[in-house]
Amino acid sequence: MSHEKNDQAETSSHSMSGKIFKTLWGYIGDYPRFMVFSMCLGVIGGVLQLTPHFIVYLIANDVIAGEASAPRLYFLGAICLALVVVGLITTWGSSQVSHTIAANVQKTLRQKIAAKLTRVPLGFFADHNPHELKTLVVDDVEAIEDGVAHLIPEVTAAFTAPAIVLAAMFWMDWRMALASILGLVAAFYLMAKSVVKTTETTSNFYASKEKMGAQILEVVQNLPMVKILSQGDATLSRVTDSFVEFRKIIEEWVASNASGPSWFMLLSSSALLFVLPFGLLLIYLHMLDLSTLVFFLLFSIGLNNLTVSIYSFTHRIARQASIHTKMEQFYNADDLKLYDVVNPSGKHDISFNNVHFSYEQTEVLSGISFDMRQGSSLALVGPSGAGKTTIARLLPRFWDVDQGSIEIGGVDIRHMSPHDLSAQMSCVFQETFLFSDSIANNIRIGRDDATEEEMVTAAKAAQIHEFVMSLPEGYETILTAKGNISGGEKQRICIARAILKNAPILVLDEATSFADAKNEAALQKAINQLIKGKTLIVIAHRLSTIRNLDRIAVIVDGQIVEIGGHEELLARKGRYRNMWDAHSRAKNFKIGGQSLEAVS
Amino acid sequence: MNLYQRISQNLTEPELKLVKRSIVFRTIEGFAMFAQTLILLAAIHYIYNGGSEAGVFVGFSLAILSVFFVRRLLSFASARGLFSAAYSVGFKIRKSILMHLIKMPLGALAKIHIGRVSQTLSEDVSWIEGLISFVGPTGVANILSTFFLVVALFFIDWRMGLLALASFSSIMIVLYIARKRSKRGVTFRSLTLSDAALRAIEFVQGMPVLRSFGGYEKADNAYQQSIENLRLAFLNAIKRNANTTLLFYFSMDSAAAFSILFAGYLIGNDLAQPTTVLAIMIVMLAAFVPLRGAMGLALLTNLAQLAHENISEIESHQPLAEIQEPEQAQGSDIRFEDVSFAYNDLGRVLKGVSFTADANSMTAIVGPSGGGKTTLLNLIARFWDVDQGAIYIGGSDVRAMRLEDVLSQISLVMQDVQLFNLSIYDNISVGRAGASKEEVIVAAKAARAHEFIEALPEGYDTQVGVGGIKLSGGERQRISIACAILKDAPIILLDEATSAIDPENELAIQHAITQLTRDKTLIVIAHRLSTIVDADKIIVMDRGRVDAIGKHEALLANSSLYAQLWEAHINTSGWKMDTK
Repeated sequence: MSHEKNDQAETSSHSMSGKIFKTLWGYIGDYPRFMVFSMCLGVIGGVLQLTPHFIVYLIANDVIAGEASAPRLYFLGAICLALVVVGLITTWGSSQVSHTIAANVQKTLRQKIAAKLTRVPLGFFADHNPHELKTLVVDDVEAIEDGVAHLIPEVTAAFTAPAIVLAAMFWMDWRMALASILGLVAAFYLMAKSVVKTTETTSNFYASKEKMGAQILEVVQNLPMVKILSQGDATLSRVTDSFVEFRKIIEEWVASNASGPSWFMLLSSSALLFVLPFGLLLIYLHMLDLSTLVFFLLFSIGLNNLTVSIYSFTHRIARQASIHTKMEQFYNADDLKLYDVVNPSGKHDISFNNVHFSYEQTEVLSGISFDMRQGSSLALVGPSGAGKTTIARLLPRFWDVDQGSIEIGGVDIRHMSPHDLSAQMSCVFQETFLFSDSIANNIRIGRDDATEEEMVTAAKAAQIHEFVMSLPEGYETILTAKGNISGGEKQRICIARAILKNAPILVLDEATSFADAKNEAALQKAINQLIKGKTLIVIAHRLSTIRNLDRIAVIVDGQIVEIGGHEELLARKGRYRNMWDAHSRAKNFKIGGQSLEAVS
Repeated sequence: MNLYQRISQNLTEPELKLVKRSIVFRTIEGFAMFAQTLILLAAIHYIYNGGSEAGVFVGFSLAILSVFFVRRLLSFASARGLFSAAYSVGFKIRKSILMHLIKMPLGALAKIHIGRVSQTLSEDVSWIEGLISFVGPTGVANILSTFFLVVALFFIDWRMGLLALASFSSIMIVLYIARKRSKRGVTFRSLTLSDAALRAIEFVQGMPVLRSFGGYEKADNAYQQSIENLRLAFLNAIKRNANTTLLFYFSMDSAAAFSILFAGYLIGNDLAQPTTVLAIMIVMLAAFVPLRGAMGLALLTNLAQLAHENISEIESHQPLAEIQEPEQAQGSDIRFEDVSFAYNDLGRVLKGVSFTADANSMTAIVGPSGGGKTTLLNLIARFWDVDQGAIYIGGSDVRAMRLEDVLSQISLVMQDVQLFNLSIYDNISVGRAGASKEEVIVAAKAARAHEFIEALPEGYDTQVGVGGIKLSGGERQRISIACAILKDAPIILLDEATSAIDPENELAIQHAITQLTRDKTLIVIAHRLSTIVDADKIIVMDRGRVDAIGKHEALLANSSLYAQLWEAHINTSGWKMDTK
């Protein structure tokens, strides 16, 4: 069975090397001429590296012929020095050009990845942790430098320059040339054999390393939790397990690969092993002259200089291949389909038409339909997990519906340009997220071109201005990842964003959940300001807050079971009525209170 | 501590021996390679002088063959063990950094760049592993074997030795300068890399916000800037290295050219035989081959050095002090005595806070946001240490107890529950390692979570996604409560735990909390004052100070702030959204 697997890997690895170079070549799309230039320089530099060997060979001829003279040595020495310098400069030039290309390629790739990230449905981020994507955008792209700046020119030089030398050898004496390449042939045979294993273990290696990194990040970001939970044992052991696993992969890698490179190094640098005995034999048989032998001895050493880097190619190519596979998978993730229709009516009526949506084979919404006139309001209520938040998130296209459609102003939101769509709405969600940036810039995400004054006005309306001003650096205070501001303060910054944006459609998901009693009254005023005249969709668990809205939809198991005004629904004595009664009881609930005994 | 001490500290005795042995082996190997050149010279010399004995020819051939076998033996002898040693050091270093992070107060942690920490743990340590497994032994061996070779040349011909020494010295000097110069470039690049890492992580985590606000440009700017910085840092590093690299290869490749010029001088002045001159040139062609890779290796040692510095930077943040004779808590009452605390220089968050939370009673903390309520809980769990005053659990100063003992007394249900990207089962059982499946289910039932878990297609094996994103806020909270129930610690810290749950479930959860908190010392932060009117003690916090302490009725009469809060609460209960 393992044999079968090997066969498969072998065929794939053959096409792999070719594919990698094709891919790398694709990356440099904009600069092929420069790259060819860099490759030519690399080959010239490689061949010129052998100048000293050739010149010493010429001198050996002189010595053998008894013609070595000082002027000739000075002359040859000067030429040798000059050619060495030229060779170094060409090699240097090749590397400068290829590195500059690499730097630009990296930048382009990182931009492309970022662009892709803005196109995928947000569900993508539930399955791919931030570390994974960080690795892709930072570390993997960083590693592509090796592919573009080194592998392309170096592989070209490492194979072309020896080929030129070998041609010269065959021209000199084919028998000795055969002896010279015997070691190399054996080395390459072994290398080709190990490539298969290398590819597999290399991607295992990096996959394991990435997993380790993801767990490290998760633990580092959740250190308070880790600390408190059974002294972190269970969670910590997850990370240390990943360390152990990583080490195990290394052991496997070493066990299967250690001998490959060693043999290669040994054989590729052992040309003399074949050349010397064979040459001596020919000389003994008077079939070879000393001068030719010297040529081959010298160039055997020189060839070794050129091929010494080849052994590292296998695992470096394998590394590029594993990155490439990852990139391909990443790019293959489905995009949200984007069109560029601008809402032509300028109206903001919202309608959900028989919307179905599944999350990993589980249907979350099963046929949600409702219409909202511009300027009207709708509350979504119901047990947690019923699909309320999903409904709210489909509107800004976090995901696309599986069936049915959502329209704003009569236009399917999937046909709207993302820019136009997001311009029409503001969303304040339960989970707040602030960037490690100044408070001012965090609010300005709402509207990029807002003036300082507008920004401050929004902050005031969101009841956060006073707090901001109490900080020594005010609006320029940089928020840190482990923020020193409370949940309520964060939420108010998010509300300030929405106020600043002032979009005609507003989606609020438990927007006041963190507010405390004292601030809540003020915040409520702010929210009433914010929602005036807006088309409003709101999710709230405290039913009392939404009883004045135009309509209330009760969502249970992904379906609307009741919809209507507060009074109307109460009168119906259905689900809503039950919830309202529970709400009234919960409002009077006391932690540890005796009243519980009666209920349970 | 320097890098080499760090490495040798983490190497076991046999591993250290192995590293030393492989350096010796590789040095000999480098030397053996050069022996090939000497055999070659001897052969040329022999033939040039008209020798043609079959036996001598065979002798030369056997000599080459034996060199090959010596190299074969040496190069295979150490490779494998060296890798194991290297990665076992990496393992130990990673683990010790992690342990250090765990022992560090969160305050210190907040000052550290998360992007950098994870970069250090995953990437930086790899450079140290590489240094041990390959870079170090190979580099040292290459330099040593070349050096011995130069010395050996003096015995063959002193002029040749001198020439070789001159080249060797210039190569080493260039190498030294190159390493120095590239160090700065590498440091700069590493900083930009970790900044880019942070930006990338935020770009990903902030995507929902960016999507719904269409504010790509804003965060995009930060991200684009970091990408451009990376490009510039990269080019800068290349430029920095270009000249020295050029000089390095020049001093190596020019050695043969200089030897030719030198040969011209020797021949011109009749100072040497033509064959000697030829020998000098051939030796110079081969002498520096082992050093060819030294430049790359030198740059890699820089990365390992930098890794060491980054690790030292993390370690320079003092962990919470280890206690020599730890005290044990006698009971589960909690006492704050004149506690003052500041997270950073933005000002003190707590100013002289004193109160007692009796064992098996309920203490509620209320007050405007930013008043220091959450901070109180953070200090009890020793996420930070107080600046002044002291906190006692069961009569013992928390700083005089082992951190493990403090934490084992406490369950915490936070306001913003983050789960691990594991199955639900695993997330609950982190509460108590080794809990049986039955116990987990019992806890889930008590937390009113069992029903919704069973309704999921994969039940307890459902993977919750990054941070628990695949569950709703209320569901996450119940998982967190189940976890706390399973842990069954005598002290419960509850932070706004009832904020994100729908009314039907809210009642259920409130029952769960009652389960959880029965016969426990409970400290709860609640904004809905009605839930805590029956608390044994209510502490009103205002701007870092205790405004008042008492029972509900007494506070209504004595504390104007509490009365205000209560009134606000009653009013907001009647608040209604209105779009008109």
